[in-house]
Amino acid sequence: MPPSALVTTLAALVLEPTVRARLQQLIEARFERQDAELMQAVEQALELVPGLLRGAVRRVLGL
Amino acid sequence: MSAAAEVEARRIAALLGVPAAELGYLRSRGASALARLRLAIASAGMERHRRSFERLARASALLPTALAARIAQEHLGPVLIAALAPFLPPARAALLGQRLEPGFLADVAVHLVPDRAAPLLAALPPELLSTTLQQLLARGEYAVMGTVVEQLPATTVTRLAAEIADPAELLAIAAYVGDKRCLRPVVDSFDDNAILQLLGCAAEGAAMSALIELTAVLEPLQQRRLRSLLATLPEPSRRAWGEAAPTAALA
Repeated sequence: MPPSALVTTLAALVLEPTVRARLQQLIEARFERQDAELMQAVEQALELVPGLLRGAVRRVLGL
Repeated sequence: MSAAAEVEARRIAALLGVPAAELGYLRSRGASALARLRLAIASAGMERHRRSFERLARASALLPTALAARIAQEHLGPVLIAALAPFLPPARAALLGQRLEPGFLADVAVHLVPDRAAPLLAALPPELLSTTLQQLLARGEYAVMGTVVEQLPATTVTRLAAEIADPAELLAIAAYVGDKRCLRPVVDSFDDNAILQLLGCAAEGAAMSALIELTAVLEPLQQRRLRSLLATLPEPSRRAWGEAAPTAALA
């Protein structure tokens, strides 16, 4: 369920119910992808971090 | 459909990772409504991933600034950095910002959620804001600049406004400022010539509605000043104002 500010903003656009439902699906899919993208970007970024520091960064990130 | 609405519809499509044509139904909506939708989606994404962003912000503090900036540009990208930035201590974000390429900073500004970024914006050094302003002006990103104005300290807004030479660009930005009362100090900071240029530019059709909205929320003394300056404009400009805003504060 999207936060209330997003629900209010979507309602203000006065979209057809099916169109609005589709847009909400796209937003939800975006949020799910964002988590995967974030983790992928972090894993790649970690390769730039020197060895000892990398361990500390991984711990802070909970990896 | 306005060009600004087209840009916002494309931005939402890019944010959602779908072809712009798939969101064709949004194009009939106003640019401001679409900008609000885009920012609401971005803000909801930040909340959803708050824990990850908080951890990333803590991890960033362990890294040398130059390395953190390299990671930001090469791996995280402007969308993630815009979402992450409000979770960084403002002083750290300002240091990082000074290590980023101006073009990348402008990309980040485009994706920033303004009402989450006030402490960060207040901490950025003036030179960094000026550089980013010039990048955004060159790209015609008036909506991005306008929506961020309310989150900036008044002194910063006044200083940045003085760096914008083209009155049409000032008006285009003002059109996107939500609460135009925050522009009162800018009006005071402008000399008569600058005000006359704005009034004349608006009379030629450039975002006159934005200036009418602004004049409605000015202090009485400011309104009197603008009325007396308006009276010195050439007749066609005065007539344009009279026709566009017969009941406005300057009438």
